[in-house]
Amino acid sequence: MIAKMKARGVRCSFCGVSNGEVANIVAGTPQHASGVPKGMIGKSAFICNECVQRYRALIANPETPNQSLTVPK
Amino acid sequence: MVRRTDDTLRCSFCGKSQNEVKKLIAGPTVYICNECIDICNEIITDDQQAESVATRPPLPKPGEIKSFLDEYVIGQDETKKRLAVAVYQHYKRIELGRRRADVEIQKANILLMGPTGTGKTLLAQTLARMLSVPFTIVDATTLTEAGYVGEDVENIILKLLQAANGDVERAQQGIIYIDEIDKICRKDENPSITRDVSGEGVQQALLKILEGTIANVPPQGGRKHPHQEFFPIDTANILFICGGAFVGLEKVIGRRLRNKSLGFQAEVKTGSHRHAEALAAVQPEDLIRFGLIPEFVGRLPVCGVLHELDEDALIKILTEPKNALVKQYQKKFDFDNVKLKFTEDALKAVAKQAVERKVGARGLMMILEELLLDAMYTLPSQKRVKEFVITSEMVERHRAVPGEGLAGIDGAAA
Repeated sequence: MIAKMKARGVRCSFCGVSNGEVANIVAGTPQHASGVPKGMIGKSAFICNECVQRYRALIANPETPNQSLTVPK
Repeated sequence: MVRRTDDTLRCSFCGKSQNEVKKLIAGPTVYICNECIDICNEIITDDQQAESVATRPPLPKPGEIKSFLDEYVIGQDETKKRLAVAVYQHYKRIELGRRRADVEIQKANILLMGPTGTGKTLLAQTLARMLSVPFTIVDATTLTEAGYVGEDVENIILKLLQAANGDVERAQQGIIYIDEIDKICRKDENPSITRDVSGEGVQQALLKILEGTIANVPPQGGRKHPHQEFFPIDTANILFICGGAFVGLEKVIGRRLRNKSLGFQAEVKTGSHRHAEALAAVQPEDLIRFGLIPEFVGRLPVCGVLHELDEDALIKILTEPKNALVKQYQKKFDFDNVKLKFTEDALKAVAKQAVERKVGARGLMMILEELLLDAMYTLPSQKRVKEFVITSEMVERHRAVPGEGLAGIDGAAA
């Protein structure tokens, strides 16, 4: 489940900014599904709108190889 | 944050493995896949568009709210008025909170009481439709105290979050209708030696949520456990409407009123004191005696009583609202090119039967469904029937022998 968050005390898991510093923070929580390890279910990760834009550009770049693990700056 | 199992890298947002997605991007301790980035981007874009296009619609005035309710709910004028004022005050309070007013206005949740089928749920649903806010109906009977089999009270917030399509901010201004609230009353007026996990325990668990707290909602629902993460949701601006039939409350009220009638000159109020009239005289002490705990009653300061529907009201329900039952059936028959008509006497007969069934407006649907079953089965395959008229005789005959009323449909149809 992915949800938009504007609650207090949430930080982007990628760049560390808090929700007061960016326009949006989106939360994602893996649900029960085949292949998803039990340990991951219910644990939320957060991403801010700025990181989303940055990563979209990264994905759209044809030079980024498929199946790659890209570590952003 | 777990993202690595058996050396497989997984997206921390959806749980998919590196092999299942096109690209996986790593953060310091988390990962996100290309699919989740697209979903997040959609959410953010939707939000930005919504904010740019007239952020908030103007708050409707109580009169406008009531007029809207009038279009869908027949009668219950006093309750509609009360509800309209309460909702207007609630959203005014949120608006004032945004402007950082010096006086903090407390929220006023609503308690609706009335026999089954009088429109409690319909009122709440119509209200949510008008205000275009997330709305959810939850059943109090499934709730239990934390740690026991059943649903946690936080799950009602999760349902609201789902109704808001995961938008936490919208969910935080939604409406939750808790149905069957009378079923979580304490079973006995005297404290029990065993825990009342589905009654008093639930009331206690609901206290903080009703008043306004940061509720930690488990995103996948179900029971909470310590290794889980939660969505923190502020319930301070969520409007709670609790509804219940409160069967037997009139006796509690009657007892109190009779107690006050002692003496030679006192007006004696007998058992003929009508149900709705008795409910209208409800005081917090009656609700406490009925089984609600005082703290819970205190958090529901607005109280609306719905009256039992009489024959006239039921006839209006059949024909007047925007989504009136007769209009609905006419639309269904229109599809088969048949004009469905009810004589006035037929409507009266249907309403009379519904009153006898004592299930309120729900009875109307049951009766019409039974009455029109044969017609709905036969008419679609009979091309020469253009009009179908329901008369009082047909309704009466159907009551005597179910299924007989429309026997010989060809004869009844013009």
